[in-house]
Amino acid sequence: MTPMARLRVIAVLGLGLGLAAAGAAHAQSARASLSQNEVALNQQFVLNVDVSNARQLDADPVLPDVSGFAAFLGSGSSTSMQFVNGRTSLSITMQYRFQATTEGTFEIGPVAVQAGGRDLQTEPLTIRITASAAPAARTGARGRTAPGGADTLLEPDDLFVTATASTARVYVNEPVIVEYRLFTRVDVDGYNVTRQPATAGFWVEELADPRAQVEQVVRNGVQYVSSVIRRVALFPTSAGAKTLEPLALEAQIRVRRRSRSLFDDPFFGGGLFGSRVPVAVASDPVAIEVLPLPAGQPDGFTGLVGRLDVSASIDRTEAQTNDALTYRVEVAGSGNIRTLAELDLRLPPGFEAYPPEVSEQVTWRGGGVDSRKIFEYVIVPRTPGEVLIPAVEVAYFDVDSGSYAAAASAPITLRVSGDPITAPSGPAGRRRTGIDLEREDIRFIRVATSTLRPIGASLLRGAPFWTMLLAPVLALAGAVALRRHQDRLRGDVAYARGRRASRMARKRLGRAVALRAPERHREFHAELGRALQGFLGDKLNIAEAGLRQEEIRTLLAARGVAAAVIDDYLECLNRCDRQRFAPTDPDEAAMQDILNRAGQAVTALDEALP
Amino acid sequence: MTAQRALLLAAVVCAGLFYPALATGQEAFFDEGNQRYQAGDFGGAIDSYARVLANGLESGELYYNLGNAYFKQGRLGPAILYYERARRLMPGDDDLRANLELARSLTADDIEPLPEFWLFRAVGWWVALLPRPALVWLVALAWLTAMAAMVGVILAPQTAVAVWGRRAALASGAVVLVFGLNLAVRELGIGAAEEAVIMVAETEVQSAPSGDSALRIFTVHEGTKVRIDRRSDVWIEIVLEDGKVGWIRAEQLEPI
Repeated sequence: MTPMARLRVIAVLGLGLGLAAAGAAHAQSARASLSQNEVALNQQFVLNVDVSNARQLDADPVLPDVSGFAAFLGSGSSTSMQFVNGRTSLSITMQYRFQATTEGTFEIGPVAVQAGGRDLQTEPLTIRITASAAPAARTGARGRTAPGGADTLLEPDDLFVTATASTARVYVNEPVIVEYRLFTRVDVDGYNVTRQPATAGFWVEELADPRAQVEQVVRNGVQYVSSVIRRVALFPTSAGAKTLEPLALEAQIRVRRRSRSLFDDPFFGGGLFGSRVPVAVASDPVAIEVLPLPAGQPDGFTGLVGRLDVSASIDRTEAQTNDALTYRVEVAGSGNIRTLAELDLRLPPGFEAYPPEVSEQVTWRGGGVDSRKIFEYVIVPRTPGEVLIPAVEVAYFDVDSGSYAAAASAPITLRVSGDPITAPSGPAGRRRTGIDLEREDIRFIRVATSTLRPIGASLLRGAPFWTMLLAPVLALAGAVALRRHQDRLRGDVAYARGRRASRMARKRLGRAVALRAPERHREFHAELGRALQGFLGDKLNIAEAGLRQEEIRTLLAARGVAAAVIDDYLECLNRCDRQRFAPTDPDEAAMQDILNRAGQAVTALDEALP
Repeated sequence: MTAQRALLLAAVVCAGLFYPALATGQEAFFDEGNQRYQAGDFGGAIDSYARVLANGLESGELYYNLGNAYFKQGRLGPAILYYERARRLMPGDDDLRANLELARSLTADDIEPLPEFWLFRAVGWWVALLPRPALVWLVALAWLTAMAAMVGVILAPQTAVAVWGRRAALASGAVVLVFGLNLAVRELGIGAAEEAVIMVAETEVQSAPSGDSALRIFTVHEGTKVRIDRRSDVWIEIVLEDGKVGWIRAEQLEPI
């Protein structure tokens, strides 16, 4: 029955008894007490915290720190009722079980309790922990130790734990079997180990759990029930004197005793069958002397100490080339076989061996450690013939003779038939591997060079660059000018005529040249006149027909044309008019003369007019 | 009509001018160097390549081969120097990068470079994106296309030529803008630090331009690339890739 369940039962009971006046109960108070003021090392003691006039606690009590000298084991609680002057009061008792771990006198500080909305504190207590395992002096208040009062009923011989080492002197890496055994003359319901001994300086190998074996043993003339609690193989990792700390446990023992009060146990504890009481016990420390290994370790020695056997076997002694064979090497002995990492097979050439499958086990057998490590190799013979697989040797230190030795398996003869295989045959046998660089090297030189250029040559300093840059700009400028020119030709008659004037004049002069025969002199002079007049009209953008000479002179003078040029022009024009109607035919020289003068006049005028 | 024809002619002339007068004859030294290199005569190969340089001509491949020859001779300082020079002319070259990495991994100084601001790294990548000849031709072509298209637009308005010309001018103009900037940065060396390679097996770096051994702050070894910061007459202030600064004598390094 759990404490909570008990509380609940009490609460129901209290209601049944009509505790209506509980609200008017006295003020709460808290008191702490110890089951005993003096306790032997590794024995247990109980810290009781009584809270009176409280039905329940508001919070779990806060315990002082006692880790310096005691280990917490467990806790419980009980409730009691009192009738005083017709009033009923309830009180709660919390019980904390501890195991004493350090010798000396210590103070247990106040316990803080919250009950009925109040903060309560207990008085501090003092405890003395003694080294002797002698029965501790008991306090007079026996009733207060309940339910931890088992001490009163047990003699030290009734229940104890022993620690036995197989030997007190070992070599480094030689196993020591330590057996922890519980002896009891009372009924033990169960136990749990409260402190495992620290094993610094040892490689620990737990041996198979022997808990189930319970046997009857006679020890010192007394019959005990005995059981092995723990069995370990310890492999010391360094030399020197070492001490194994004790193992502590708490056993639940069953005790029969008389009922002492009305409310004692008939409900809670199973008084009809005896009550269950926890008892703390611990083993004695064990001293072990570790001897160093002598000098002169052989090659391949991995720290195996003890006797050792190596055996090798192969699944077939006759095989074809390329068959996969299983080669099994078993190493057995009493040493720490786990230190053996790998074997040197020394296979002859013509074999391919794959990494082995390794299994190992360490057991307790016949009073010692029996450890085995099995290596299973898959080996593939590649060449035919009779092959001797050499012995596998493992070096170890023989404790019995005190010297180093080597265990070896028997060599195996294998007959391989078939064709020699130099490489795994067939595509299936070939294993893909990554490509590793065997050597790092630079990449090869360039066979061809791009255009060799002057050192330090900049693009910006070369003529090609500027040509390339500016030529399109010039082209663009030309295009813009051309476009403007075309636009004026299209939209500006005066501009167009002006630009066309000399071309038209030259055309007419050309036509006149074709007419330069004396018999066609009238047409010649007419064309010449049109050329001169048309040129002026185009140039000045005026209607040239019917212009009088004075008007022409004024117009040209207004545009800043020199008088000589105007005179030449008008002279030519007059001569053309006169010759058209003259009765005499001019000779060819005169015609050539006037043609030249007309050309000169047009050129001079063209230059004078913008 | 005549204007377009003239333009075409101008373009052709320009393209012709772009081919510098070919350095005929110098390629023979380059080939001779290659033959010596393949024959295992690395010293002879170096002589041949160096003759081209002595004649005032260079190319990325020339520097690359020269770096290889020095590498084969076990001279890491000149090897790295010429690889770095080659890198200026052919920044994106794969072989060059591999060899430079290998050569650097063999140098004595293992310098953890300072992390670079991502923008600078991006710009550096952009600047080195295209090999120089490709860049030059790209920009030149885009420039000519853009201008020709504009001429077309001007001379033939309100026709299909103008519509397509405008599009072509826009597209190639964008190319000119973007890659022309790239080319300008490269040609003008904008933002390019002046760098150098340590050429002596080991040299002590001083905290001040002075030979006083008490001022020694660290030691650098052959092949380490440094940035040149300041100069006095015979001393140069160098900055390592991890930011360490000190002075060494000018003859102990060679500018790239």
